Amino acid sequence: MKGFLGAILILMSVAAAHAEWQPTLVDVPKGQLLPFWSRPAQNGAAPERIEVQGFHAMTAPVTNAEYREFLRLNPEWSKSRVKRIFADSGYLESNKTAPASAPVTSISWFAARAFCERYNMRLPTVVEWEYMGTASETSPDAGRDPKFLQTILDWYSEPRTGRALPSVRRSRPNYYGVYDMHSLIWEWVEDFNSNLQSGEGRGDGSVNKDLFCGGGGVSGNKEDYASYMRFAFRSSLKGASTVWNLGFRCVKDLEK
Amino acid sequence: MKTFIASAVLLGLSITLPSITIAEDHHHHHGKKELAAAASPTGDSIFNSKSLWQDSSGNEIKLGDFRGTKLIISMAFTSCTYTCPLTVAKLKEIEAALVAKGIVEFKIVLASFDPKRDKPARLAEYFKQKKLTERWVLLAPRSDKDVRELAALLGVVYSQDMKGDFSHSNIISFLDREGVVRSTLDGLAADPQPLIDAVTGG
Repeated sequence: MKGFLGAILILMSVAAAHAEWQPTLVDVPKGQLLPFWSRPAQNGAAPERIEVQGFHAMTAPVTNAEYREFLRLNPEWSKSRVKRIFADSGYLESNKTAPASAPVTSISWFAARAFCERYNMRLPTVVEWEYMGTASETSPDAGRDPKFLQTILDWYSEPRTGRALPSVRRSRPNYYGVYDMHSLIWEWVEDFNSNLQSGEGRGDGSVNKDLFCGGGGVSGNKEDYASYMRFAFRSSLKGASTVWNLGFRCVKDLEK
Repeated sequence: MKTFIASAVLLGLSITLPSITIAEDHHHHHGKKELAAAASPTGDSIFNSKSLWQDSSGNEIKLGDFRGTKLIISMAFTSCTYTCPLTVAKLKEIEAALVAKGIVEFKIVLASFDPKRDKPARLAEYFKQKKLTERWVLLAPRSDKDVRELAALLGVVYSQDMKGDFSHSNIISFLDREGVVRSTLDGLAADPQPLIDAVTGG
C-alpha cells in the first residue's frame, strides 16, 4: 500500500514538472509615449505623443531555463536543427554554461518570436518597449529625467568583463513592476527593422528617395542618448542575428 | 535475498528496455528524416517561412508553393504613390531584359505591406491597372506579422505611419528554385544587370 502511494506521488510530481510553463505577467496600462524621436515643438505646440494601448508584459526577460523548456517541446529550434535562415551560427553559443535564471541570449528574432508565439504572446513593438522602459522605479515617465537617463548610460558604458550574465530580477522593478529594462541585456522588438534613415541619423531628417519610399528621420530629444543607442543598435540587426547580450521578453494583448 | 536480486534485475530491465526501444525508434526516424529532408527546404531558403498569403484570385499561398521556379521578389503596396510605381517599372524592365535573352521561366512576386487595404480583390484590380503578365503574382498578407517576417527574411526595412501608409526600403531579390537569395538590387537607382545575370545563370 505504501509502495503504491509512493508510486502515485512520483507520477504526480513528474506530471507537475512537465505542466505547461506560464509566464509571470503584469499590467502595463495604456498611456502616451513621448519618444526621443518626436519632432521638436514648433510654434509653441506640444511635441507629438504616441498613444500606447495597455498590454500585459513579462516581468523579466526570458531565462535560459524557460527557453530550454521551450526547446524540449519544440526541438526544431534546437541548435543542431534550427534553419540557418532563422538563426546564425552564434545561436545559443553563449548559453552553454550560463545559469538557468540568467536571461537567454544569443537568440535570433525568429527564435524569440517562435517562443512568444508558442505561449500565446508576442514580442513588444519599439513603442511598447520604449514605453515600458521610460518608467523609473517611481515614475511612469522619467524620459526627461536626467538622473534616470544617466543611470542607463552608466550601464551602457560599463565594461562587461567575463561576459557572464547574472540572474534576472536582481535589481529593483520599475513603476510597472517590470525588471531589467536597462541593466541587463538589449532586447528584441517585433519591428526591429523599422528604422529608415540614411547618413548621420541625428541631424539628417531627409531620406534618400532612391533607397527609401516615404519618410524617416530622427530629430528629437538629444538628451536621451540611451534611446538613440538602442535605436541604432536595432538598426544594425538582421532577423537571424544573435548577440551575446541580446535577449527578449514577450508581451500579451489584453483580452478584448 | 533472492527476491531482492530478482526485483533489482526486473527494475533494471524495466529501466533499460524502454531506452532500447527508443534507440530503435531513432533508426526508424532516420529513414523517415531522410525522406522528410528531401521535401523540407534547405537551411538558407526563404521557403522555411510559415507566413501566409493570398494571391489576387484569393488562393491561399505559402512561399514554399513557389519551389521549383526562379523568383524575382519585392514588396510594395497599392496605395503607394512615391516609388512603388517605379518598383513595378523596374521589375517590368528586368522581365523584358530576361525575355529578350530567351529566359522565360520565372515568376515575379510582389508582396504587399498592407493587410488592411490590399485584399485579393484590390490586387486583382491593380494587376489589370498595371497590365501585368502571367509571370506576376501579387500577394495579400494575412496579417502584419506575416509582412514583418517576409521583410526580415528579405532584409527589407519598413514602418507604418499614423495614416496607414508605409515607408520602406526598395529591395528586389532573386531567389533560386530552392528559395535561396542569390542576388539583390538595393535601391531603384542601382544597376539591374547583376540581378539579370544571376537569374540567367541561376
